[in-house]
Amino acid sequence: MTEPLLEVEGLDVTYQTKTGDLRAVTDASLSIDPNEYFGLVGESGCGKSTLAQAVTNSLDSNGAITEGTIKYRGEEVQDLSEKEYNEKIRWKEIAVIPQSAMNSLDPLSRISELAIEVAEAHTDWSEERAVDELKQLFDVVGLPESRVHDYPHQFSGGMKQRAIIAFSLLLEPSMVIADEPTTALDVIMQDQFLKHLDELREIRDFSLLFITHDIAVVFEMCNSMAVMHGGQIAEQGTTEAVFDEPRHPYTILLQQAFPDIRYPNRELEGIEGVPPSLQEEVDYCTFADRCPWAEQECWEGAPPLETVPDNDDAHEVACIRNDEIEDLAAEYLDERDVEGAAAGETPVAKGASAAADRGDEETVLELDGLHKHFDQSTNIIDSIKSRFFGEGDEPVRAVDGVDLELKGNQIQGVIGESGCGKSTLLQTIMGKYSPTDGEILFDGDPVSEFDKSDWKEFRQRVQIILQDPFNTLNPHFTVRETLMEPLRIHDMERSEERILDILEQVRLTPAEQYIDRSESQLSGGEKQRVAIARALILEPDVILADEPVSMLDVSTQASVLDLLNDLTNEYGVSMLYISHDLSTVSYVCDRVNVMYLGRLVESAPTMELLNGAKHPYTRSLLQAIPVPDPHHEREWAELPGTPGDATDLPGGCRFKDRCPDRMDICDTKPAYVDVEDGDHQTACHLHYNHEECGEEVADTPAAAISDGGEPR
Amino acid sequence: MSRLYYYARRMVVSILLIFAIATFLFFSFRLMPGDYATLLLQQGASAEQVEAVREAWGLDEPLYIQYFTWMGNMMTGNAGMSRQFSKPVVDVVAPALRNSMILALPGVLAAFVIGSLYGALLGSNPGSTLEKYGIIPPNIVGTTPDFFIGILLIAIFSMSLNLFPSGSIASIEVVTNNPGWEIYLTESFWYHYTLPFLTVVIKYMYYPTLVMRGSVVEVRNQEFAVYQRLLGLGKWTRFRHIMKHASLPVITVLPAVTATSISGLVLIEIVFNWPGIGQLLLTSVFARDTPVIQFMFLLIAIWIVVGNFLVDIFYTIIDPRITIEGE
Ligand code: SF4
Ligand code: SF4
Repeated sequence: MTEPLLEVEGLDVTYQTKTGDLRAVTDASLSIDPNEYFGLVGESGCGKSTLAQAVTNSLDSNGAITEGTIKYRGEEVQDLSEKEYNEKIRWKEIAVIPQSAMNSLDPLSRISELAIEVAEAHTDWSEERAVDELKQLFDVVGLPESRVHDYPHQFSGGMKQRAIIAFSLLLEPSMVIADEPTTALDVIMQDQFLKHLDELREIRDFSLLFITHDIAVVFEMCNSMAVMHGGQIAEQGTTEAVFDEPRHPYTILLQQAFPDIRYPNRELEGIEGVPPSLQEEVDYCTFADRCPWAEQECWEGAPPLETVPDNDDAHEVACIRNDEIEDLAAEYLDERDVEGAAAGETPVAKGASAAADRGDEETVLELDGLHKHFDQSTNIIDSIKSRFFGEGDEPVRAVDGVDLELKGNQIQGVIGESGCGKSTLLQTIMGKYSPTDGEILFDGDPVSEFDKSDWKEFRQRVQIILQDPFNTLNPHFTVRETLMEPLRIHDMERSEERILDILEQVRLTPAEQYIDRSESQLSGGEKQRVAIARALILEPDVILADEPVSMLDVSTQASVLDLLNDLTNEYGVSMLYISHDLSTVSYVCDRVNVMYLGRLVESAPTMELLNGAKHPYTRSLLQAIPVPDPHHEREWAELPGTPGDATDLPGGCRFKDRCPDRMDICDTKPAYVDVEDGDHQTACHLHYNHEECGEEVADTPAAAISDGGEPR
Repeated sequence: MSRLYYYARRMVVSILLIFAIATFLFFSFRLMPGDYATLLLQQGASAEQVEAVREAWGLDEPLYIQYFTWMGNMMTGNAGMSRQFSKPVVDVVAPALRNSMILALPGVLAAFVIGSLYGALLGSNPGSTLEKYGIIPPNIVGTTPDFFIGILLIAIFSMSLNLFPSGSIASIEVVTNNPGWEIYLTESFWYHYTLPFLTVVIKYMYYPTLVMRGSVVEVRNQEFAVYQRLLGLGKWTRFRHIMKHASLPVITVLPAVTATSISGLVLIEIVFNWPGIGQLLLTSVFARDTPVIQFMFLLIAIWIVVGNFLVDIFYTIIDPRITIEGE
């Protein structure tokens, strides 16, 4: 047996805060072998980042290791001073990939300068050697060597990612710690990042400690993993063992809560409740409050981490009922399904599982050739130049000809990478921007002809739920005030019952307990529920949702998604759901629209899109979603580059520069809407029957949704 | 390439701006009540003199022709005669400007360098006792009127300790013997220079201190700085990176502060009896010496515009992102 590279034993980390000590990590033990990829998962605040900071000697000044040891190659390193740690370990042995690679390079210095400085701090390399090493690594991660002397702003986001990976390997460390490296990325960039990390395994020898909240990424990338809850390790072992035979209730429920693109019909179940506050002494199971199988005994002492008798020696679980959990879980999940069905909780039509479009009623919201362009220049001279002399910069075509019909009681999704124009689309519908061209029809009436009272009505009947529940609520308001305010603005009946009722609806129960809370007394998921309640209390016809769950932990995500799904059904509301994440979208939406550089490139009922995506872009998006199953071999999405620039659009198909199936015709001829059963539309030559439709259709502008940017 | 284009563009904008200001000055002085020709002359000037001025400035011509004559005169440095000194305006303003520059420029620059370093020191140690108490003196100075600092310095160093003289640019003999710039080489000048210089430094130190402190605190928490800590870069290397960022806002305010320092200078120059433009401006206003005032306004405007131009150029040297706009 090889000696482990990193061994953490009985580690306690405590932060001193104004309100008392916070025990961020309690009695954590784990060990990582050479060349092993180790995943550490858990929701925010579970202590996973603190653990990594303890290992890298970078705890905040108010945090300290109070107990336990950290051994690196058998040597204790937890008591090293910063100077000793810098000399012995930092970057030469353990390097770090930070949370946000986008902003981690100093914009004022050349990238090669940083390499020289790193070498200067830790080695006796000459400047040339440092730059040469960086060049070699640039080659390894697929960046052109010549660009080491660039400034960071000359790199795209994906290139910066790769540069950061290159930096982590600069001094050939034996271990790399990546702290939530993909959290801020959209699915395509995450896929590229993971691909590079994965390929590096073949080229370089190092272990990886991958910290994330995304269990799917860990199942995909790592050999071993640990699940943390409330500052303690709940379960650890090889990824296969944890996946096949999870023994901790938290792991089991987490798997249930996690969307899996392969099974969009599966029920998602959130995990109710929150971990205990770590400011108090926790001498019971940290999961007891949320665990469906908690017993009296669970409250009487923290369960120790015990080895599980199965074929993986390293599989350990901290749960006193671990030997019976398998049966309990099976029983519980069955029962819950039956109960749910009996109580009518399971909606008839649920997202992808809806047999067909459920919205067969009238169209409530229609977008007809909607364009929103922005002037690029902000300075006065340039805008005069372009206004009067017609010269100057091309506008940014953020939204460039979108047609969409939202029916009553229908949920439609719009997905795409960041920068594809989906947020601008939403804001244009809301009336924040006025369209450059095209029309928004609400109930058949054009929004452009609205007068003041029409707008007021529109603002009541169209509600919005934003991404960040932390910024959308007034911190000085209680829940009651937050919900009363819209009623007051729109002169609607204000009563206590109404508010209690809506709180019940969004499952903030018992409602009496929540009504007087202020923002700071709510968790992230609860805030988002209040935001949903605020939208629903006006009894709107349409809800516009902008990434409503992307800031939430997985355990909460599932229940909020579920809630949205149920409530739209119950209230007969339609919803336009904007996101970059196809896997969450597919759980809620009846129909999904894929947006690329200001245009829709594919639109189809969810199931049909998942099973038979036609546009190469949609196929790549689907391909890029990590699958939470270590046995599943996913192929990397082949989608090089980044979406082009919305100012300088290529002629022909907009996707051609990244398209694996590009043909000659794509350069010159626009692509068309391919109508198949009138329901599944895509803008791609691959699916267009050139012979049948003949040339003249090719020039019919009305049919073109990807014609190189000519406004219709 | 794009960098040169950027400089050229900025330059053109600056020149246009100066023209615009000059134009504005021209019209605003023309619109002032009273006959412009007599305004340009000393009190009690004869009719012929008035006529001569009318001739020279083309005051009988239509306004637009006058405007061009005036512009032409200004550009060739012919700003007319000072009413109070009966000398060409340029000869009156030049030595005063020189005296002020030698006081204000080094003073403000020194204040910015020292203030920035002090501010950086405070910002690098947030929450320490040094920061807590170190921030008090600049705050006090910032709210104290300029002349008060001068008076205080005079009281201490001149009255009580008798170390430095309390006013004037140099001793009488030296002033009369050295009419030109040679005066700056005399010992007597430096002896007189010390107290007003210190006043300027102390007065203008507080602002960069406060700005720098705030900006260092902010930059330290930016992701790149956190990453550099993780990288284990040396303390001084990290400090250099942080300073580069943190100094940007300080540099931005530099020309503005230099420009507004003129108002402060008036008071400091009066307290120290310093023959600079502050003092000149004041006496010119009392003497209704329009040609001098007009010319000095123009100079001050040029000072600000040129200062901003220099800062823009300096920015491109520190911050490579700037020139994107010009690409
Ligand atoms: S110890 Fe008890 S409360 Fe904790 S996870 Fe196991 S069964 Fe649940
Ligand atoms: S039209 Fe051509 S380039 Fe565009 S997506 Fe289809 S195959 Fe690719």
